[in-house]
Amino acid sequence: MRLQVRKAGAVLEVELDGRLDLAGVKQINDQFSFQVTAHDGPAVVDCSKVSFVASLGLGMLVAAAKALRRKGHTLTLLRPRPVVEEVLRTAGIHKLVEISHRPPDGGPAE
Amino acid sequence: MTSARRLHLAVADDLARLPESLLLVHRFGVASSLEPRRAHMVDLVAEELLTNVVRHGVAAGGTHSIEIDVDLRDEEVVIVVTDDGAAFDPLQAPRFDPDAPLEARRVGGMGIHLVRSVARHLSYRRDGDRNVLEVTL
Repeated sequence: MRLQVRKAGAVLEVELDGRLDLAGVKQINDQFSFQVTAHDGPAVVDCSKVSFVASLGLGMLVAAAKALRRKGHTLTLLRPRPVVEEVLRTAGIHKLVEISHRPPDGGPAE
Repeated sequence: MTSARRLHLAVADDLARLPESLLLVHRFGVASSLEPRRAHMVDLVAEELLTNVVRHGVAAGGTHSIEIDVDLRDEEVVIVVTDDGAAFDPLQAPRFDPDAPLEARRVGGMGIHLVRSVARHLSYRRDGDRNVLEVTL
């Protein structure tokens, strides 16, 4: 599991690449949580390269959303693959955070 | 022991080593004739059930025997997880609420909720000294 973080103005942009399973969450959870909780602004997580998510990964995302909410900010999940989005929706994550399929460069939606 | 249609694994009672077993389940699904979504759901069920069993066993102390069987049948996949820990029926745990607001959202129970949601059939029984959870996809 790989994690890349950059700031675009006030927005924290996080790209995840790999499987958000037991092993993947163990690899990135500390860095992901630190980056999000230290940030004072909205965060966008690009999920387009996430091939699998289980409850541990969902818990990591929910914790991040809670931390941002306490500061008055939002978490957005970008472009999850269909099978990942199915798991997100089954867990009700779409009721807590925005799931967006907007393209990365402002081009036409897929 | 693995054939093209069946996988049987003894799983280490150790969260740090559990990814090794989950990787074998994943490779079995990839190598099988399962369509991708169903292979994904096999991964999901294995991850949620085995993580739950190992965590529960660790909390109870001692070392436990844990096994998983994945059986690819014509129209369905049957996954059976057994362990010799104290009797524990995860289906009796408080239901996860996917409609709870963010502030009240808890993570506990989310895994079994996912399993319930993707399963055609889900059952628990105590068989001798073993917990037996059976999931049909």
